[in-house]
Amino acid sequence: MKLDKSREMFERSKRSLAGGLSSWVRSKEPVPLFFKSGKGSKLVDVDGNEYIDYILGQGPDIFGHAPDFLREAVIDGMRRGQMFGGQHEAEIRVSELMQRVVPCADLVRFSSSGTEAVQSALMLARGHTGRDKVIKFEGHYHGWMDNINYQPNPDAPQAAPDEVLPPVPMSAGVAPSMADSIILVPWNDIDVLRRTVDEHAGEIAAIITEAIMCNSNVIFPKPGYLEEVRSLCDERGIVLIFDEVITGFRVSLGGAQELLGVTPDVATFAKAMAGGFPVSMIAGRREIMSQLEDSTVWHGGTANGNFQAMYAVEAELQELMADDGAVYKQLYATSNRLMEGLRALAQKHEQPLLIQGPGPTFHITFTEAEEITDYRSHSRAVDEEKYSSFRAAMLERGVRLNVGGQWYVSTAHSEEDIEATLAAADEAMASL
Amino acid sequence: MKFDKSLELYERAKRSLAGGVNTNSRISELPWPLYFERGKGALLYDADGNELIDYVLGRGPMIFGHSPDFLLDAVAEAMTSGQIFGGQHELEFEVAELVQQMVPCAELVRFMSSGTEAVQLALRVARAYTGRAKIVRFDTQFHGWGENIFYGMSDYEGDELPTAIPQAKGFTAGTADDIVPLPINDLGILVRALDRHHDEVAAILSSPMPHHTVIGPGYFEEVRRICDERGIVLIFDEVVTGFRVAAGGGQELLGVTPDIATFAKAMANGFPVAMVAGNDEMMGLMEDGTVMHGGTVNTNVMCMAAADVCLRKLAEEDGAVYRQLRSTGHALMDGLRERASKHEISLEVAGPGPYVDVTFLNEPELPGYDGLKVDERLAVYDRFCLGMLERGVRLMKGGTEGGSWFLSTAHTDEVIEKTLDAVDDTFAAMT
Repeated sequence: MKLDKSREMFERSKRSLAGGLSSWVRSKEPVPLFFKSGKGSKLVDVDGNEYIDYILGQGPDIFGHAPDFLREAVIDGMRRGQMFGGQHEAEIRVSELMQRVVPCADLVRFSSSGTEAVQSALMLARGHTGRDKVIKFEGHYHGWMDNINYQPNPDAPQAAPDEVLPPVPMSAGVAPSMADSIILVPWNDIDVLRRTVDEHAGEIAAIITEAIMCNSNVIFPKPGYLEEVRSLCDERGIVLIFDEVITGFRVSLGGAQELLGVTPDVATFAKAMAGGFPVSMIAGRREIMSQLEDSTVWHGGTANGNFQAMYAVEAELQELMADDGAVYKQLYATSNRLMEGLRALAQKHEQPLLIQGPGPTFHITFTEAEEITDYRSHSRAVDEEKYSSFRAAMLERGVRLNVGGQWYVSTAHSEEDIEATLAAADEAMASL
Repeated sequence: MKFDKSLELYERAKRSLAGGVNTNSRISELPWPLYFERGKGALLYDADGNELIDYVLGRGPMIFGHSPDFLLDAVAEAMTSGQIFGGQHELEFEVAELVQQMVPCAELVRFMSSGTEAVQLALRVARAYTGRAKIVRFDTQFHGWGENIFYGMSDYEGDELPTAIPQAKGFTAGTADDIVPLPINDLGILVRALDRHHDEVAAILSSPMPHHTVIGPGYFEEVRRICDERGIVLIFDEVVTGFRVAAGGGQELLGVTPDIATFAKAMANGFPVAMVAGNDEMMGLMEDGTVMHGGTVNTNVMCMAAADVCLRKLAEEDGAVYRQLRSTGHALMDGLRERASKHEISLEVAGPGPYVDVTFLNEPELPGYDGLKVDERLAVYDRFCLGMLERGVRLMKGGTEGGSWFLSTAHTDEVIEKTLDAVDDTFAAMT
């Protein structure tokens, strides 16, 4: 496979863009690819290679690349204007739609990135409770800002399952003054969470969690776990935040909170709500969100609610809501076919393959483990090298997969795409 | 002029959108948040059918006015190739290369969606580079709503140093310790503060041209020298000034090059694009992931297409856009001063032209009185804004001292004439 032009552009790009690319996650690719265009499930790179794409912009392209309806809606919107530093009716229409579809959405606000949305959620929680500390879980990701950009202690994978260790920042330059305000605990273990909350009685402002842990292995909460987290928060006056940047509008119209039947106090959304436009949302209970009404808690942003953004979200929502959830039936059917096909191939090739996740996003891991339920077991069990080889073999065969094992599926992934993907996987597994 | 429909929409919005608006600065709009149907050039059309000459321009971004065809065509065309790849595309480095040509400090750049994010990345790079934590910031400047920088300054006396005051609730407790808030234009207190926090200051952060502030001659040159001497990173926040006052931003006009600068607003005429630009050594910390910078939507196709076409136009004909904006701005400033003097209003009008800062120094009813406090100045400015709105001109509500007016290339002589007629009438009604 020729990747000469991508390599060449990467070298050129490094001379003007720090590291040659625009987001850390993209640096994990062995050869950062440069793309010419995308349509539906397919991407074409600058060397002319065509790929079936399971990255989908890291989640946003739920209708595939460049869907016509989205383009038309946005052109219609931006012909009217871009940004007014004022209001327009599409903001209201979209907010009202959100109230209908997202369980926790008494009131909403829009921003540009998931990272920003999480910042608002944390400010609202601290403002509401007057407390300072935030509990985050190992293996979850909530954007790159200083107060939340922490990863598990390197000793965590080998530690006792219920041992709470001090987290470490994911980046140099994180302000050390915030380190005392964040506590990282293992996920899916209600006892360790209760114990931690007890140890910091009256100090915890918020518990923030992905409702399905997509950033590590796509792990479902154990039965009853989120319900217990919910009641713990209620007992102790802690704000429960769901980060639905990945799950929102992807696993169900109302997000993971709808799928799992647990309603948080505040939730953050981005990615699939806008098909690649920079839009995020914070949705929450009236009592908490109303701190924004009199600027007790501030939420700024010149670009918030811009025309293009709001028309993109409106068009996406209308498509997502059409035909009583047809989009989700299709996404689940497609991904089930894929997951079953991959499992069958693993058996055929005697590869220990574990596939987890709801479907519209799922995760594949080469491991002997029968189930992975938290970050620590994930870190211990995963054969990263084998997955990298598999991924490289898939790329050779025209299938683009994420580094790390998470797959995203769109409505543009056809029966034919699935067959082609499974045929590629058959060969790729044979090559391992 | 009626704004009933806007009021109706505002009431409806409050039931789903917290406070009825999407960013808190819009809550205080006068007489209430207005709803717009469309914008073209210098004009906005609101829900009540009013046509308004716009000096808000989205709070700065719309340097070519609303809905310029060249921009919309470029974005519409680019969108056919996709929105976001989770990978790279050519426009990313093409825009980065344009920036290298235009902006003095831009050896390497990174893009993101908001000015708030850009400031956060700049602070992170500065802290990583120096291994220090504290940030010097100056009073009344706005550097986004990140909890580690959205601070004001306490009063202080004599040799004391002011302390940091959070501008809203909900900030992480430790953030205040990292802020060294200072008044600008005072090298003495700056040096005192740096001595007090010896080897703890990572960066000095400032706009190169703060609103309503005349920077003393040589001030930033001296700040630059102090930063070099003490190993402190100089960051210019050019979210407002970048690509607005000159192709190279405020740093080009000042002739002082910072280590790092942040940009947003005017670089993409209404598309959410922001940027951090800086020297190789510091920005290079991102190359191997030492400094992490994330963002799913960074450099999406629409935003890069918008930035590409805007920067190309801004760089055309050796700065023709800026010559036009300065000339329009000066016509506006001259006209404002002339009308003010006619009505015996003591009005301060300043700014580089592409934007103009306006402050009332007296009560129009009491000609000659020249000692208004800040709150009183803002109250008079509010009355003026309402009067102008009645006469079809939309101004941004006052901020620190008075208000800032943004101009676009779509603000023609005729638009300025109409504006000045409205000013004349408004002044007459106020006195």
